[in-house]
Amino acid sequence: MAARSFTRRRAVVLVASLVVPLVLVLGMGHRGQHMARNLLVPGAGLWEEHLWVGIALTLAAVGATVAWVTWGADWMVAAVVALALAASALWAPGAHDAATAVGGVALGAVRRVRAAHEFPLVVLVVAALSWLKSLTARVPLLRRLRRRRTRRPNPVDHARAAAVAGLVHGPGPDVALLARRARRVGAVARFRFGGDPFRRDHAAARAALLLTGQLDAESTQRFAADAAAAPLGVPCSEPGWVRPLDGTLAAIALVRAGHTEPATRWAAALGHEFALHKGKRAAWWWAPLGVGAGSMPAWEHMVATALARAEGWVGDADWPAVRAQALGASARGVAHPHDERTIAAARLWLRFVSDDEAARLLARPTVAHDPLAVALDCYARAVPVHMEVPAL
Amino acid sequence: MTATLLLPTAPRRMGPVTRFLVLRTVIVFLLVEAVGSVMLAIGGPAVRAGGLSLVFPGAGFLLAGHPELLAVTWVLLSLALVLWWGISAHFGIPLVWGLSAVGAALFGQAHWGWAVPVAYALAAAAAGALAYTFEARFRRKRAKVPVLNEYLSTAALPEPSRPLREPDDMDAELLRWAYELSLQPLDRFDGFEWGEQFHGGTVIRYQLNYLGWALAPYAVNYLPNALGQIEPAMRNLMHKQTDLRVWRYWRTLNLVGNFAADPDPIVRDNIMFSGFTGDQLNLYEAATGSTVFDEPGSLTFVWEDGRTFAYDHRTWMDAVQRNFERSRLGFFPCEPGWSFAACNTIGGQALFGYDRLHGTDLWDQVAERWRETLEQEYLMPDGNYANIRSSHTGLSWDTGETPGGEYFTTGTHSFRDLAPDIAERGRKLGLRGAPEKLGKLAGLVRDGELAMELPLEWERNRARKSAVPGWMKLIGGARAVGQEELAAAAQRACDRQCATGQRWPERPLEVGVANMALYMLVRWSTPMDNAMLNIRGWVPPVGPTVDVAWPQVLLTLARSTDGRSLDLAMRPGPDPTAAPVALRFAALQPGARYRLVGDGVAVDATADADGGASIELAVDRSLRMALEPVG
Repeated sequence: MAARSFTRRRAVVLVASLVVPLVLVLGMGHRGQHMARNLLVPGAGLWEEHLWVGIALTLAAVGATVAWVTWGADWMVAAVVALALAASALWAPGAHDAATAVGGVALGAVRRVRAAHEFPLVVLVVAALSWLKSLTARVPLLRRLRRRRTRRPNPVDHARAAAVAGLVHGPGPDVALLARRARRVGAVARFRFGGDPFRRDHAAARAALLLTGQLDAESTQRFAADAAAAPLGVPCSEPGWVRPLDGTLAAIALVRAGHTEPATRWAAALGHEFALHKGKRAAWWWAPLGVGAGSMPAWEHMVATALARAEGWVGDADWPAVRAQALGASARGVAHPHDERTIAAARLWLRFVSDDEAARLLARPTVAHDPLAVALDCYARAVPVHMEVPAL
Repeated sequence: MTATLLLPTAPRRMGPVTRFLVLRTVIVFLLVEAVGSVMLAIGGPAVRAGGLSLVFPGAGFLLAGHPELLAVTWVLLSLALVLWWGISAHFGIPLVWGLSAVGAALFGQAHWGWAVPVAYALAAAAAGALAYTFEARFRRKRAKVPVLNEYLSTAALPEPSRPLREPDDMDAELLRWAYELSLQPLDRFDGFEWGEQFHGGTVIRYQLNYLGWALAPYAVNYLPNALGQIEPAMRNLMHKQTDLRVWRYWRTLNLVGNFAADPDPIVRDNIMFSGFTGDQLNLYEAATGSTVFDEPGSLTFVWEDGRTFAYDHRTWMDAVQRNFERSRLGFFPCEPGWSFAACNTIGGQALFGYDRLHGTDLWDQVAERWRETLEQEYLMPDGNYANIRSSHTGLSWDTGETPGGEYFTTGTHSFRDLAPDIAERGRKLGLRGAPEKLGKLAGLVRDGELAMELPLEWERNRARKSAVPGWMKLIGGARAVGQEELAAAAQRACDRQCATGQRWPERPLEVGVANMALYMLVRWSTPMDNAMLNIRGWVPPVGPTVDVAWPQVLLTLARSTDGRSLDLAMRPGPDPTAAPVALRFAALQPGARYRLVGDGVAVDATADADGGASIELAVDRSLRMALEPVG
C-alpha cells in the first residue's frame, strides 16, 4: 500500500493546480489569462498572437507526453509547459481591446481557463490516450492495422519474454538490446549518462537478466535495494511508471533470488493499487504522486495475473473477468501477438482453475510466433495442472 | 420388381406455398404500380416523377429529362440483384426502387411527357416476359410427361457396378494427402483453398465436408479393420468446422439477410452448414463408430468476443429439425431467404443418418412434409427439381450452379436413403440414354486402358481449369450403368492426365481441394457408398484389426473378407523410419498362431489371451500382405 505522504503530495498538487491559474488570471491580467491557457493546452496561450509558435509548443507538448508515458521523461512535459508560460509572458499582449476580442469565443476561453486544473487534465489526457489505444483494438479496420506484426524486436516485450522463458530455463535475453534501451531511457528521462544502465528502474529487463542468471551479485543487490525503496515493492518499468506485468516479473525474479519482501509488498499492491475493479485492473501507477489509472489491455491483464496467480499473489477472481477475452482470443487465433499471449496466459490460468470448456477451446490454437506467448506456453506446460497455490 | 414412380400427368404450375408467396409478390408489385399510377394521376410535377419511378424503376428520371439517372438506377438494380443472391440483401431492390422514386421527385420538373407511356410499356413488357418465360418453360416440360412416363414404366437400367477395389498408388497418394491435410494442427489450414466464404468454390466448410464425405467410404471399404489412422483425420475435419474463419461468414449473412446479429451458425437457417456438416458428423460416426461428438459441448463455436455456442451431435440435429419444422416452405434457407433443394436434401440425410445411429425419430417427424415440399413445391413437370427458391418471393431461377438450375436427383445420396422411389425415378431420368453413350465409349477401352484425355474445364472457383471434374462424371456415370471396365480405365486415364507428382501442402492432382475431395469420393465409394453407409449405420469390423503408427507408416488397406484373415497394404508415411515399426493386431483368436505373409515378408506371431499380437516390421517399401491363421 502506498505511503501516506502520497496524500500530502496529491493535495499540494491539487491546490497548486487550482491556485496557479487563479493567480495568473487574477494577478497578471490579460497576459495571465494567456499564460493560464497554456496550463490547459500548452501553446494555446500563443495561438492568437503567434500561431505557429503556439502550434509548435502544442505539438511539443504532445511529443513530451508520449515521451513521458513511454520513457518516463516527465520533466519534458513540465519543460514544455514552462516554456509555453514563459513565451506567453513575453509575447502575450497586456490587454485586448474589448471590441477586437473575438467576442464570446475569447470570453468563453477565459472562463474555461478559470476552471482549469492542469495536472488532473494531464492525467485525463493520458487516460484518454490509453482509452483510444484500447479502442483501436475494437474497431475493425484499426484493429487490422494494429495486428501487423512488427519485425523490429521491441526491447520491453523481449525482456518480458526472456523473463518468462527464464522461469523454465529458456534462453537469455539480448543484453545489448536491453542495455541500449535502458541507456536511452536513463539519459532522456533522468540524465543518467555512463555507468550501469540498469542501476535504477527497468523492472522487466532486470527481471529477465536475473531470471536467466545474467545479473551479478552486486547488480542483484542493487535490484533488491531499488525494490525495497520503491513504494510498491518493485522497481519502476521506466522512471516514475510502475506497470503491473513488469512489476510481477520483477517480484518473481527477486523471490527466485531469495528476496521475499517484494512478493509480500507486490501482492499487497495487486490487492490495492492494482486491485480488480469491475473486471479491470489499472494499467499503470505513477510513483511521484501514487496515482494509478487506465485499465490493462486484455492480454496484459491475462499475463500479469496468470503469473501472479502462479505465485499465489492473487486469487481466482480474475479468471471470470478475463475468461471471455481468452475464449475470444482462442477463436481469433494467433494472427495477432496479443491474442497469442492471451491464449498462452490463459493456459497458465487453467493450471489453477477448473474450466473444462475453456481448456478444450484454448488447447486448439498453436502458439508458435510471439516470443512472450511461446515462453508463457512453455511455462504453462511446466506447471502441474491445478497446482495448489493458495492465494496470499 | 416394384413399378417406378411416375411423373404426375396433370402437374400444377406451383405448389401451395410457392403459389402463396408468388401471389403475395404479385400483389405487392401491383400495389406499387397502383400507388405510382395514383401519384402520376393526381400529383404535381415532383410527385408525378416519383410516381413514374414506382411504375417502372427510374422512369421518373426519364420524365424529368435525365436518362443518365435511369441508367444509373438500372446499374444499381443489377448490383442489388447480385447482392440479393450473394449476401441475401433482400432490401436492395426495394431500396433502389424507392430511392429512384425519391430521386425523381427531387428533380421534379416534367420534360419528357412521352416517358409515361414508355414506362408503362416497359413495366408491362418486364412482367409479361417473366410470365411468358415461366409459362413457356412449364408447358414445354409438361409436354414431355407422356414420353417420360412411358420411358419410366418400361426402361430397365443395368445395375451399378460395385467392385471391391485394391488401393493403387494414386489411392495411396490421395489418402496420404488427405491425412496430412486433416491431421495438421486444428488451427492450421495449409493446403486448403481460401477465398470468399459466402457462396463460391473457395469456401472452407465445403472443402471440409467433401473431405469428410470422401474419407468415410475409404474407412468402410478399405480400412474397416484399422481405424486408428483415419478416425483422427475425420475427427479433425469436424473440429476444423468450428474454427471461426470457417463460419464467421454467417454473422454477416444473418445481419444482412435476417437483420439478426446472432453469430450462432446453427440455430437459424444456414442449412448449407448445419445440414452438410450434420451429414458429415453421421458419416464419421457410421464409418468409425466413434461417439466422441455425443459429448455435450464437443462442437463449440466461439465468437470473437468470447461468446460460446455449444453443440453436440444431438443438439446439432435438434437445431436442424427445428429449422425444418418452423419453415413455412418446408425447406429452410441456406443463405437467409434462399432455400435450396440440394441443401435441404442433405439436411434430411443428416436427420435420417442420426436416427439410424441413435435410434431416434427426428427424420420421421419431418419426412412427410419434406417429401411434400420436394414433390409439390420443387418438382417440375419433367421430373427435374428446382435448385433454389426464394422463401420470401417464391421465385426460382438458374443460379448457374447446376445445368439449367435443376436436377433429377440431388443431395449427396441422390434420395436413396430418404426416398428410394424418387431416387429410382431420378436415376432413370438422369441416366436416360447414358448406357448407349457410355457403351460407345467403352468400345474405346483397349487392354484396360482408355487412350484419351478430357478437355480442361473451369472449376467453380475459377481458380484453374481441370480435367478432373469431367473424369469424375465419366467414372461415376460408367459405374452407375454397370460399365466397370470403362470406369476403371477412366480412373487410370484421369490419374495419367491429371497427376502432378506433388504432395501436401501441394496437391497430387491438377485440381482444387473441393474437386479433389469429390474425386476421392467417386473413386472410393465402392462397394459401399455414403447412401448405403447412411442407411447401414455403424457396424463393428469382423476379423482381426490392426493399428500402426502414423506418420511413419501409411496404411492403405486393412479388411477381412472372411472374418479370420486380414488383407493388409502399407507403405512408408510422410515421416518414414528405417527401424521396424510395431503392427499391433487385435481381435485375433486367443492363443492361435498367425502368419503375416506377402511381398517377401513371412513372420509368425501367436495371439495372447486377449487376442492381441504385435509384429515388428520394417516398412521401407510398399507392402501387400495378409495375416492368416496357421493350421
